[in-house]
Amino acid sequence: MKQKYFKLLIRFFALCLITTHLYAENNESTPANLIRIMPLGDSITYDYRLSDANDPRPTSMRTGYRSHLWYMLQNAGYNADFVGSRIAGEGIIPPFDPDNEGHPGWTASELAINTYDYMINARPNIVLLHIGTNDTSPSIDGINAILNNIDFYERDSGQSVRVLIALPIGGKSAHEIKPFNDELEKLISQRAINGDNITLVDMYRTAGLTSSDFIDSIHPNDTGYRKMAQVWFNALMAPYTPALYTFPSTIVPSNYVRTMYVSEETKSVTFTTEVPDTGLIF
Amino acid sequence: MKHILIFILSTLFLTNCGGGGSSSTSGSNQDVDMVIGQAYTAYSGNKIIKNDEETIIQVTHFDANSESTVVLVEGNATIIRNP
Repeated sequence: MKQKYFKLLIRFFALCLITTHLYAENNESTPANLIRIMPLGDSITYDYRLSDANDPRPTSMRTGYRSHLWYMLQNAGYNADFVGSRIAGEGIIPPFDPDNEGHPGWTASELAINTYDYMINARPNIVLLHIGTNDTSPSIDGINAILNNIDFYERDSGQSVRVLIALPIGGKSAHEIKPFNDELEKLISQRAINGDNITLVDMYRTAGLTSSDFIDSIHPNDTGYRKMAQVWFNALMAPYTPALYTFPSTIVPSNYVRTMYVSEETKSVTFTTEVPDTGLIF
Repeated sequence: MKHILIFILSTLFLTNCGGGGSSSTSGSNQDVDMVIGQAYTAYSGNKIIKNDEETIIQVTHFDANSESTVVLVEGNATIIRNP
């Protein structure tokens, strides 16, 4: 009788061990579920202040929004790998992934020249693009060139890249930012309608940055960067419904669409369009 | 025989009464001249044509629905229900 109970006990412990092992295996991070995220942009991505020109901080202490975003993603169980050829913020406690592709002072056109190589080297699944603060004209040609180079990478590599692109903060007066943002919104709408996996992130309006969130006339302080991180985080966590973005093209050629707003919350798309001679066909 | 007659007449009467309440799921079949700012429902198969060269329409579409809400923003347009 005792021997029977002993055998049952052994079986019970064996079952516990197997269950524990399987649970651990399922929760282990594997390269397969790692999401490679490239923070791409200028000094606001890298974390460089105007005061650094005279009194430079160690690069190991520069984090921008990246550290805050990293912590948020970790807390949400998101297995992220920040990628890029630059390293900044490796001395921060608690540690985070300091890899990035932030280039202080660069315009969109300057970034575009190198974008293809950055993609090839880092192979990101997602790009967080914040650029345009250093552009002095309202032209969005530089940003279009960056997106073209990401398209070329996708074509050549066979890998798809999701691009989250921000309406940039800082560096422009209100009357300068309006035409730039309008053009950028139009560009992103056109690209999304045509099937690009791209989402506009309204950093300019939704981050809620006030003058107290900036350390100089362009760059946020730590509080400002935390607000930016929250906007990136929300965008990364939001569901993505491609059919909403491509819906306008089902009733009108995409070049007639003037503005487009997609709400993943209500699963709706609102757009304004010129009516072509052939009409809108539902 | 009398019962059968009453049954047939009743059925015809009830059918005719019900006829007035029926409506197409695709809304009225009449074409609609759009008024600026007014919201209309555009169903699958409908067409909007412009009557002014510069005509702008706002369209709102929910992923779960087959129809869309349309608003004339600028110009002049007509919704053709049966193009």
